[in-house]
Amino acid sequence: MDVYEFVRGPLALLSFAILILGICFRLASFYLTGTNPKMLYPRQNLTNGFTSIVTGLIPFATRFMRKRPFFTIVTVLFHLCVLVVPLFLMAHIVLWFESYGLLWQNIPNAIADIMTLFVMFSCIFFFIRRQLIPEIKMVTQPSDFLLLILIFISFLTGFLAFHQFGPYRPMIIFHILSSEVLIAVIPFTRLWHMIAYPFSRYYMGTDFGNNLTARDW
Amino acid sequence: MKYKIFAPLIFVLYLFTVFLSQSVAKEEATEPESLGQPLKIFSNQARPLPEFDHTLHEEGLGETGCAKCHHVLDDEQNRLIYSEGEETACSECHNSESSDNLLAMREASHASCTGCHREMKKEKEKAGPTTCGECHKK
Repeated sequence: MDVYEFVRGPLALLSFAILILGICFRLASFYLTGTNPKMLYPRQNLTNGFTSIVTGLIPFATRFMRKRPFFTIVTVLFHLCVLVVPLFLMAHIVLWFESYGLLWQNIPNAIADIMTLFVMFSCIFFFIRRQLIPEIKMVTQPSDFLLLILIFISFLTGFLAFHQFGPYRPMIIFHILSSEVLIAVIPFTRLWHMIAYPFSRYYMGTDFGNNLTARDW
Repeated sequence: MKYKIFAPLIFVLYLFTVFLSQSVAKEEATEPESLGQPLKIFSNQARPLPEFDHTLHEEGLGETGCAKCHHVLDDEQNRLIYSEGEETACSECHNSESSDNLLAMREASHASCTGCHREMKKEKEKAGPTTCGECHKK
């Protein structure tokens, strides 16, 4: 079978299957292995948890972000770009349409180009930041660097393939492959924060919100 | 308690099958031969136009002959038929914009050219490109 057709068809389905089943597996294992609290604290309530989720999503809403303005700007834009470009790039939507008949709005290619370059820049920024700042270095696993490298490669090859620099066919195959690896490892690496963000944030909010009579620290 | 895991799993499997079956149904509907609804999928972000070698395509034709690509609309039956002697260029009918019952050039060629290439590759024949950049060369 043609390599491109194989990578684009069955392998893509496989990565989506691993993603969906992996998310189900991890959510189910959270649900089944978790225990109810032995003691209920009367001062804990729903508000603090949900406040924490919302403030964590708004740029500069938390003290953590206000103390690091440059990092906040980079990380907010990075998360925006890294989600928008794969989902709304025209060429990707054409593939969705031709494979599954799904169709939605796309973004202009020029904007997608700028966003891609920004994602690559922020990957380098995060890579250096993980090594320079001690408290970040302490919680860094090797897989964090691998993920950054993978995202960088995925966006770089996509950029090069779009502009047709270098050998086109290997480039596009490598682009699809690296992205499929990224999709498949979402449930099993730090990328799990895509799903777990509200849970962990809610937990921290309920635990610390009232104790310190503050919003998020 | 332990069987709680099955409920979400079955639900997701169900969604997955619905998703798959719908995609199959839609694929049938967008076959180049059928007169589906026109689809404006590419907005105005044109890529460089592909080169088409007519002689090269003539050589590889099988039993279907010219009817593989050439067609005209039969008003009585309201479907596409092949009519010998009436072969015209695609752009005679397929314009840059879709209208009722007529696909735009870019949509028709995406369905017909790549569709045919993909079919041939599935049957392990030598076929033209199916990636984006091998047709739209910069």
